[in-house]
Amino acid sequence: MSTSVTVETLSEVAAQVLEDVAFVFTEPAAVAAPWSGGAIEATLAFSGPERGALFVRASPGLAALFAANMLGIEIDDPEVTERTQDAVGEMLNVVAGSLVARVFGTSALVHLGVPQVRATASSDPAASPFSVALMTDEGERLELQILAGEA
Amino acid sequence: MSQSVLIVDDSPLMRKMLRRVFRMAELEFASIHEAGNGIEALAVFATEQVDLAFVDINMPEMNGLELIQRLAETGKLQTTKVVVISTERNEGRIDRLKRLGIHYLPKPFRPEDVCVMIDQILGESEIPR
Repeated sequence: MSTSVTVETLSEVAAQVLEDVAFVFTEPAAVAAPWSGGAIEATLAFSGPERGALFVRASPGLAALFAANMLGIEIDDPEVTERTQDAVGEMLNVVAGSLVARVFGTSALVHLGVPQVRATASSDPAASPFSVALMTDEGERLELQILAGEA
Repeated sequence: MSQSVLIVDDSPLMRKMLRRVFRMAELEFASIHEAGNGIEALAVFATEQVDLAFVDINMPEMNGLELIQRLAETGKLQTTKVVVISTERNEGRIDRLKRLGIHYLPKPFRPEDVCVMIDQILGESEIPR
Protein backbone atom coordinates (compact mmCIF):
# COMPACT_ATOMS: atom_id res chain seq x y z
CA MET A 1 0.00 0.00 0.00
CA SER A 2 2.90 2.28 0.65
CA THR A 3 3.48 2.60 -3.06
CA SER A 4 -0.18 2.84 -4.01
CA VAL A 5 -1.74 5.23 -1.55
CA THR A 6 -1.42 8.96 -1.25
CA VAL A 7 -1.80 11.01 1.89
CA GLU A 8 -4.74 12.70 0.19
CA THR A 9 -6.51 9.35 -0.19
CA LEU A 10 -5.77 8.42 3.40
CA SER A 11 -7.09 11.76 4.62
CA GLU A 12 -10.25 11.58 2.50
CA VAL A 13 -11.08 8.04 3.55
CA ALA A 14 -10.48 8.73 7.24
CA ALA A 15 -12.55 11.91 7.23
CA GLN A 16 -15.42 10.18 5.44
CA VAL A 17 -15.42 7.25 7.87
CA LEU A 18 -15.44 9.59 10.86
CA GLU A 19 -18.50 11.30 9.40
CA ASP A 20 -20.30 8.10 8.47
CA VAL A 21 -19.58 6.10 11.62
CA ALA A 22 -19.54 8.70 14.38
CA PHE A 23 -20.97 11.90 12.86
CA VAL A 24 -17.67 13.64 13.60
CA PHE A 25 -16.67 16.33 11.12
CA THR A 26 -13.02 17.20 10.70
CA GLU A 27 -10.64 19.23 8.60
CA PRO A 28 -7.07 18.32 7.61
CA ALA A 29 -4.48 19.58 10.10
CA ALA A 30 -0.71 19.82 10.24
CA VAL A 31 0.96 16.50 11.04
CA ALA A 32 3.99 18.20 12.51
CA ALA A 33 2.04 19.94 15.25
CA PRO A 34 3.15 18.73 18.69
CA TRP A 35 0.92 16.19 20.39
CA SER A 36 0.01 17.18 23.89
CA GLY A 37 -1.73 15.06 26.48
CA GLY A 38 -2.61 11.41 26.34
CA ALA A 39 -3.98 9.43 23.45
CA ILE A 40 -5.84 6.30 22.49
CA GLU A 41 -3.64 4.43 20.02
CA ALA A 42 -4.55 1.51 17.78
CA THR A 43 -2.69 -0.58 15.23
CA LEU A 44 -4.17 -2.89 12.62
CA ALA A 45 -2.03 -5.12 10.40
CA PHE A 46 -2.98 -5.89 6.82
CA SER A 47 -1.63 -8.24 4.18
CA GLY A 48 -2.51 -8.60 0.54
CA PRO A 49 -0.90 -7.09 -2.55
CA GLU A 50 1.23 -5.22 0.01
CA ARG A 51 1.83 -5.73 3.71
CA GLY A 52 1.86 -3.18 6.45
CA ALA A 53 -0.10 -1.71 9.29
CA LEU A 54 -2.34 1.22 9.95
CA PHE A 55 -1.69 3.21 13.09
CA VAL A 56 -4.07 5.72 14.60
CA ARG A 57 -3.91 7.92 17.64
CA ALA A 58 -6.84 9.95 18.83
CA SER A 59 -7.11 12.54 21.56
CA PRO A 60 -9.10 11.23 24.54
CA GLY A 61 -11.82 13.79 23.85
CA LEU A 62 -12.22 12.62 20.27
CA ALA A 63 -12.25 8.97 21.33
CA ALA A 64 -15.00 9.81 23.83
CA LEU A 65 -16.95 11.58 21.08
CA PHE A 66 -16.65 8.47 18.87
CA ALA A 67 -18.00 6.25 21.64
CA ALA A 68 -20.83 8.59 22.60
CA ASN A 69 -22.00 9.12 19.04
CA MET A 70 -21.69 5.48 18.04
CA LEU A 71 -23.75 4.42 21.05
CA GLY A 72 -26.14 7.34 20.87
CA ILE A 73 -25.51 8.41 24.46
CA GLU A 74 -24.38 11.63 26.10
CA ILE A 75 -20.64 12.19 26.27
CA ASP A 76 -20.77 12.43 30.07
CA ASP A 77 -22.43 9.02 30.36
CA PRO A 78 -20.18 6.71 32.45
CA GLU A 79 -20.32 4.10 29.71
CA VAL A 80 -18.44 6.37 27.33
CA THR A 81 -15.26 5.97 29.38
CA GLU A 82 -15.55 2.18 29.15
CA ARG A 83 -15.93 2.23 25.37
CA THR A 84 -13.39 4.77 24.13
CA GLN A 85 -10.72 2.21 23.24
CA ASP A 86 -13.27 -0.02 21.55
CA ALA A 87 -14.55 2.97 19.57
CA VAL A 88 -11.09 3.89 18.28
CA GLY A 89 -10.41 0.27 17.34
CA GLU A 90 -13.68 0.02 15.45
CA MET A 91 -12.99 3.32 13.72
CA LEU A 92 -9.60 2.04 12.57
CA ASN A 93 -11.19 -1.20 11.41
CA VAL A 94 -13.64 0.65 9.17
CA VAL A 95 -10.96 3.03 7.88
CA ALA A 96 -8.78 0.05 7.00
CA GLY A 97 -11.57 -1.75 5.16
CA SER A 98 -12.49 1.33 3.17
CA LEU A 99 -8.87 2.19 2.42
CA VAL A 100 -7.77 -1.22 1.14
CA ALA A 101 -10.85 -1.43 -1.08
CA ARG A 102 -10.10 1.98 -2.53
CA VAL A 103 -6.38 1.36 -3.01
CA PHE A 104 -6.30 -2.32 -4.02
CA GLY A 105 -9.79 -2.65 -5.50
CA THR A 106 -12.49 -5.18 -4.62
CA SER A 107 -10.94 -8.08 -6.50
CA ALA A 108 -7.76 -8.13 -4.41
CA LEU A 109 -7.56 -10.56 -1.51
CA VAL A 110 -6.65 -8.60 1.58
CA HIS A 111 -6.51 -9.86 5.14
CA LEU A 112 -7.14 -7.37 7.92
CA GLY A 113 -6.02 -8.13 11.44
CA VAL A 114 -7.81 -7.35 14.67
CA PRO A 115 -7.13 -3.83 16.01
CA GLN A 116 -4.71 -3.69 18.93
CA VAL A 117 -5.68 -0.74 21.10
CA ARG A 118 -4.13 0.94 24.11
CA ALA A 119 -4.37 4.15 26.07
CA THR A 120 -1.14 6.03 26.59
CA ALA A 121 -0.16 9.03 28.68
CA SER A 122 2.21 10.32 26.00
CA SER A 123 2.17 9.43 22.34
CA ASP A 124 5.20 9.28 20.09
CA PRO A 125 4.48 7.14 17.02
CA ALA A 126 7.09 6.02 14.52
CA ALA A 127 7.86 8.42 11.72
CA SER A 128 6.08 7.65 8.47
CA PRO A 129 5.89 9.58 5.21
CA PHE A 130 2.26 8.47 5.01
CA SER A 131 0.80 10.42 7.90
CA VAL A 132 -2.30 12.55 8.04
CA ALA A 133 -3.90 14.59 10.78
CA LEU A 134 -7.51 15.61 11.18
CA MET A 135 -8.97 18.06 13.66
CA THR A 136 -12.47 19.01 14.76
CA ASP A 137 -13.61 22.58 15.28
CA GLU A 138 -13.21 21.97 19.00
CA GLY A 139 -9.54 21.07 18.58
CA GLU A 140 -9.91 17.32 19.07
CA ARG A 141 -7.28 15.58 17.01
CA LEU A 142 -6.64 12.33 15.18
CA GLU A 143 -3.52 11.17 13.35
CA LEU A 144 -3.33 8.20 11.03
CA GLN A 145 -0.23 6.56 9.59
CA ILE A 146 0.55 3.74 7.20
CA LEU A 147 3.52 1.73 8.44
CA ALA A 148 4.89 -0.27 5.52
CA GLY A 149 6.08 -3.82 6.11
CA GLU A 150 4.80 -4.03 9.67
CA ALA A 151 2.49 -6.99 9.13
CA MET B 1 -41.28 -10.88 17.19
CA SER B 2 -40.69 -14.48 18.14
CA GLN B 3 -37.20 -14.69 16.70
CA SER B 4 -34.05 -15.30 18.67
CA VAL B 5 -31.06 -13.22 17.60
CA LEU B 6 -27.33 -13.73 18.07
CA ILE B 7 -24.81 -10.90 17.64
CA VAL B 8 -21.26 -12.12 17.02
CA ASP B 9 -18.65 -9.37 17.19
CA ASP B 10 -15.47 -8.99 19.22
CA SER B 11 -16.34 -5.35 19.80
CA PRO B 12 -18.74 -4.84 22.74
CA LEU B 13 -19.41 -1.40 21.29
CA MET B 14 -20.61 -2.88 17.99
CA ARG B 15 -22.82 -5.33 19.85
CA LYS B 16 -24.36 -2.46 21.79
CA MET B 17 -24.78 -0.45 18.58
CA LEU B 18 -26.81 -3.24 17.03
CA ARG B 19 -28.95 -3.57 20.15
CA ARG B 20 -29.56 0.17 19.92
CA VAL B 21 -30.60 -0.15 16.27
CA PHE B 22 -33.09 -2.86 17.22
CA ARG B 23 -34.53 -0.61 19.95
CA MET B 24 -34.72 2.40 17.65
CA ALA B 25 -36.53 0.32 15.03
CA GLU B 26 -38.81 -1.14 17.73
CA LEU B 27 -37.71 -4.64 16.79
CA GLU B 28 -38.53 -6.68 19.86
CA PHE B 29 -36.95 -10.09 19.52
CA ALA B 30 -37.76 -12.96 21.84
CA SER B 31 -34.12 -13.04 22.92
CA ILE B 32 -30.82 -11.43 21.97
CA HIS B 33 -27.63 -13.37 22.64
CA GLU B 34 -24.08 -12.08 22.23
CA ALA B 35 -20.77 -13.72 21.42
CA GLY B 36 -17.29 -12.21 21.14
CA ASN B 37 -15.94 -14.67 18.56
CA GLY B 38 -16.82 -17.78 16.58
CA ILE B 39 -16.10 -20.19 19.42
CA GLU B 40 -18.41 -18.36 21.79
CA ALA B 41 -21.02 -18.27 19.03
CA LEU B 42 -20.85 -22.03 18.55
CA ALA B 43 -21.48 -22.44 22.28
CA VAL B 44 -24.65 -20.38 21.90
CA PHE B 45 -25.72 -22.40 18.86
CA ALA B 46 -25.21 -25.58 20.91
CA THR B 47 -27.73 -24.55 23.53
CA GLU B 48 -30.08 -22.05 21.90
CA GLN B 49 -32.28 -21.85 18.86
CA VAL B 50 -30.91 -18.95 16.80
CA ASP B 51 -33.14 -17.63 14.02
CA LEU B 52 -31.04 -14.66 12.97
CA ALA B 53 -27.30 -14.13 13.47
CA PHE B 54 -25.31 -10.97 12.80
CA VAL B 55 -21.68 -11.98 12.30
CA ASP B 56 -18.49 -9.94 12.04
CA ILE B 57 -15.60 -11.43 10.06
CA ASN B 58 -12.43 -10.10 11.69
CA MET B 59 -12.44 -11.63 15.17
CA PRO B 60 -9.84 -13.35 17.33
CA GLU B 61 -9.92 -17.09 18.20
CA MET B 62 -12.37 -18.04 15.43
CA ASN B 63 -13.29 -15.53 12.75
CA GLY B 64 -16.64 -15.13 11.06
CA LEU B 65 -15.72 -17.07 7.93
CA GLU B 66 -14.62 -20.07 10.02
CA LEU B 67 -17.83 -19.83 12.04
CA ILE B 68 -19.96 -19.80 8.90
CA GLN B 69 -18.05 -22.80 7.56
CA ARG B 70 -18.82 -24.70 10.78
CA LEU B 71 -22.48 -23.68 10.60
CA ALA B 72 -22.66 -24.89 7.00
CA GLU B 73 -21.05 -28.22 7.91
CA THR B 74 -23.49 -28.82 10.76
CA GLY B 75 -26.60 -27.84 8.80
CA LYS B 76 -27.28 -24.78 10.97
CA LEU B 77 -27.50 -22.52 7.94
CA GLN B 78 -30.74 -24.25 7.02
CA THR B 79 -32.45 -22.94 10.15
CA THR B 80 -30.52 -19.74 10.86
CA LYS B 81 -30.42 -16.67 8.67
CA VAL B 82 -26.97 -15.08 8.82
CA VAL B 83 -26.04 -11.47 8.10
CA VAL B 84 -22.33 -10.72 7.80
CA ILE B 85 -21.57 -7.17 8.90
CA SER B 86 -18.02 -6.44 7.92
CA THR B 87 -15.49 -4.16 6.31
CA GLU B 88 -14.81 -6.99 3.85
CA ARG B 89 -14.96 -5.74 0.26
CA ASN B 90 -13.49 -8.65 -1.71
CA GLU B 91 -16.01 -9.57 -4.40
CA GLY B 92 -14.99 -13.22 -4.45
CA ARG B 93 -15.44 -13.70 -0.72
CA ILE B 94 -18.76 -11.85 -0.75
CA ASP B 95 -20.02 -13.94 -3.68
CA ARG B 96 -19.07 -17.15 -1.88
CA LEU B 97 -21.00 -16.00 1.18
CA LYS B 98 -24.03 -15.14 -0.90
CA ARG B 99 -23.95 -18.58 -2.54
CA LEU B 100 -24.27 -20.02 0.97
CA GLY B 101 -27.36 -17.88 1.48
CA ILE B 102 -25.55 -15.39 3.68
CA HIS B 103 -26.66 -11.77 3.60
CA TYR B 104 -23.98 -9.10 3.58
CA LEU B 105 -24.03 -5.61 5.07
CA PRO B 106 -20.88 -3.52 4.63
CA LYS B 107 -19.47 -1.31 7.37
CA PRO B 108 -20.03 1.53 7.84
CA PHE B 109 -23.77 1.00 7.93
CA ARG B 110 -26.69 3.22 8.85
CA PRO B 111 -29.34 2.01 11.30
CA GLU B 112 -31.90 1.99 8.51
CA ASP B 113 -29.66 -0.35 6.49
CA VAL B 114 -29.98 -2.94 9.27
CA CYS B 115 -33.76 -2.51 9.37
CA VAL B 116 -34.07 -2.92 5.60
CA MET B 117 -31.93 -6.05 5.79
CA ILE B 118 -34.06 -7.55 8.57
CA ASP B 119 -37.25 -6.77 6.66
CA GLN B 120 -35.78 -8.39 3.56
CA ILE B 121 -34.77 -11.50 5.49
CA LEU B 122 -38.06 -11.88 7.30
CA GLY B 123 -39.90 -11.34 4.04
CA GLU B 124 -38.14 -14.24 2.35
CA SER B 125 -37.99 -16.40 5.45
CA GLU B 126 -40.35 -18.99 6.87
CA ILE B 127 -39.40 -17.77 10.34
CA PRO B 128 -42.59 -16.51 11.98
CA ARG B 129 -42.59 -12.78 12.71
